[in-house]
Amino acid sequence: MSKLDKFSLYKANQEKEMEIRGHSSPQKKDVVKKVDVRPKTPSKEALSGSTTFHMDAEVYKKLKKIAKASKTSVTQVIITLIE
Amino acid sequence: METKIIMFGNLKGGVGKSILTSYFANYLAAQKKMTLIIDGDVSQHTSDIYDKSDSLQDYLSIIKYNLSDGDIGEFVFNQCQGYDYVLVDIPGTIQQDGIIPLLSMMDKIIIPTSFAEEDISSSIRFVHILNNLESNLEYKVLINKYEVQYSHEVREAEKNGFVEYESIFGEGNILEKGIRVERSLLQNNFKSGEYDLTKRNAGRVNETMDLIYEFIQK
Repeated sequence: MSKLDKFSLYKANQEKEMEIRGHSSPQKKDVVKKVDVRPKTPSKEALSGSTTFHMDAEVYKKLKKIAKASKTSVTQVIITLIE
Repeated sequence: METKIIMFGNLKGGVGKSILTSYFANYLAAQKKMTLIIDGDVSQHTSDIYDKSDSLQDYLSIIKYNLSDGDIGEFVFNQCQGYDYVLVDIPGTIQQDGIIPLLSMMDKIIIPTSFAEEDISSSIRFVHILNNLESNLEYKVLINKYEVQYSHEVREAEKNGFVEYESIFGEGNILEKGIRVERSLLQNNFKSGEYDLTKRNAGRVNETMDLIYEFIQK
């Protein structure tokens, strides 16, 4: 497609800009939730089992320091904090 | 050759639009393709931190678009001359005038996203807008960001996530299964602002760039 053709499309869509901006998008909340595979913040029960969850790197560093000083594991520190 | 106009776009920030734009521009310039980045993100100009490698100077140019430059479509139209590829970086919003019609000028759009709920929602909304445009553009979704703390559980969950992604966007519209740009960057100790793919062991990043290049050639 030529550069001029692309610009013609731009002009054509410029007229519809407000209309398109106002369109509501389809609701796909259920599907979206299924795709979101990030590990969620664990419950206390989950922590006592085997699981993986996302933790901010800075928080992890601090917890690791505490764990090292207490000669225990990061998981144990988290459980203690929750309790 | 007609200039190809490409965009890494989504309706929100933080999905990797600007960094992928920068990497891909370097990739094209390293292949001696005359490449222009139009930095249209007026709220956060990537070009302010972009450090272009000396070896790419002859093939890569960057130009900022500001609101005072007038109509963004005309701006892009006027800048294309003499380039093989023009990459347009936009803000993660459609509130800025001209952004929606600008999408219709693209030959190809790559939609960077992740497995995070808010990124998926914004990708769906973005595709919805693309489908409402009068255009000839083609798009592909690129799952760019992955869980950094990789484990067996995460890997299995990601596999399931891919299947669901395909159910939303259609099987052919996902760029490739298993691309791990962000993870690859971390593994290679890339730091923010380092974009030179020719000097470091870029590994999987270059593989991703190959896939994007293959897509835009079609």
